[in-house]
Amino acid sequence: MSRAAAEALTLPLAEIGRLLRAGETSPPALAEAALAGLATAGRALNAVAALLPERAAAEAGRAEAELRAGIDRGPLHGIPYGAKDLFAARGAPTTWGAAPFKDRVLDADAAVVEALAAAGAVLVAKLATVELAGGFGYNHPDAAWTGPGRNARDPERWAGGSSSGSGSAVAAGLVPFALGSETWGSITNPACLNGVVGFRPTYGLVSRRGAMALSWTMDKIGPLARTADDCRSVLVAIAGADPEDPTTLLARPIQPDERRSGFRFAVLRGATEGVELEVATNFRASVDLLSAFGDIEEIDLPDLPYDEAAAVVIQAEAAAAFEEFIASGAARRLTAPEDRYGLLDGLTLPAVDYLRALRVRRVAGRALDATLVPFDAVVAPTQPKVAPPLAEQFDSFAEGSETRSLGAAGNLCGLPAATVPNGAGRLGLPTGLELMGRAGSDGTVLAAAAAFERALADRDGAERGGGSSQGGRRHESG
Amino acid sequence: MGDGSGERGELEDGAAVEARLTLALECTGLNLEPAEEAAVRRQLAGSRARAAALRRVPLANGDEPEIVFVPFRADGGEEDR
Repeated sequence: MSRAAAEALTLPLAEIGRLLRAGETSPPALAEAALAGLATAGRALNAVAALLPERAAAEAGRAEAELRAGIDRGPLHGIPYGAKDLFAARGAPTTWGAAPFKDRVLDADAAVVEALAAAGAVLVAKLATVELAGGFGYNHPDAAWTGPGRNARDPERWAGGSSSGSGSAVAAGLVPFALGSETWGSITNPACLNGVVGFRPTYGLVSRRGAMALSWTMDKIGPLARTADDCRSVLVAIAGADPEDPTTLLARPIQPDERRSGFRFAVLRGATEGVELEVATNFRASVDLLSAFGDIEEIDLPDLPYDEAAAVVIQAEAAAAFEEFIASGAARRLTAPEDRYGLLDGLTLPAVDYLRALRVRRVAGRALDATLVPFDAVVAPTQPKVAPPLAEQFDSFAEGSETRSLGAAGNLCGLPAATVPNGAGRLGLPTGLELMGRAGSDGTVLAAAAAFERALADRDGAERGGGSSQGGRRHESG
Repeated sequence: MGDGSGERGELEDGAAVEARLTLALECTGLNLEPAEEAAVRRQLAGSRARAAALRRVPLANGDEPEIVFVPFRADGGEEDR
């Protein structure tokens, strides 16, 4: 394995691309380095569901040949990546993190895997997920046949979920980017806890064909990467209409937003109440940074039962999606004991309760949009606490911390959100800033996230006595 | 349905929880351990509480569910554009 290639995996996509086009590394060298790292460090983190050396060799070989022939598919050409094991990939195991599906092989590529192949990216691994995307109500990290997802910053702590392997593999520098999915927090949570950037697109922007359905009206697919610009490159590749996923036919195209200043930010009132001290400190410092390139105004979200509506929608849809699975008794073989009787509440949920949740969603979507009209993004801490210890039960970890967050409202209403690392919290573990925009404002949210990254790099550079990000590598990805 | 408030609401909730537990076990054919049944009762009580919270949102007759149905065409309608 080339050490230079392994180091290249930790760089922003634009810089890896420059190395590739300068002949200083190659797609096969990058793929081999990624596979080697995933086989050792990745497995130690329980981040790997399956390595795909043959597919990676074929795709990397093609990418290399095309570059030599002058065919350039853009910023993802020759870049290795991992896909959450909820996405089908031809010939590879697709287990959804669930022991009953451990030996299943699907003979198709998910739409996102197809799209990334068309963009020249190289699939090297299926990455671990919490079993069935966490939809059965797991209450602790050990909830997948791959074992508890270990955090890349501290292996004795949780990697977050349900896109556990996607978060830890990117954070550990094993792949430059990964695909995750979010029904309610499954991209932003592991991205934040591992200290990488995660992006949840507007519902319907990315086709879910070939992805496990947990909740048809809540599931979204998005990237986890090292920078907001990298997330944008991946999003551009995977977004678009697909007749096999009718929700994508209504999606607005991604609007380019090249702004570096002049943003309008809303700050969620009370967002630091109940969060860890360091999370609050980092959030306040982040708001100070945002104020250097944008206007700030404190707001409340419309007072509506977002959590309850989101939970009811997911319960009903997940129970319907997995009714046969539960009735077959296969759920009894899931890893987390509490998942073995999960969703029984959803199976008996009255239809009127589900429909009421969808009616509340309509009210919430309109009220939330009216609130967000004046702003490019509303911000809040992504998570109230840093990553919990592996042995911790989530309900006891969360006990006593009633916090205000954007997750329920944003997921219920299908709004785009980015999480960006914003400093070190307790025990030096990462904390994150969440930026959420109106439906269809994906490009703006990513532009704001990138501007925040630049401001943070400038501040950290100044504190270290170095120069600003103007001369740093961040801008080479522009 | 009870809204989960007051003694009567609690009694109604208790009966509804037991009814839904019985229905769930019949539908799935599962045999749960007592501790598992207790956990499912807590889930069902939570489900009832969430439904009660949603009922506190005023909705008019015309407040439709947010469901989008797109009539299918394999070509997405491109031929007509």
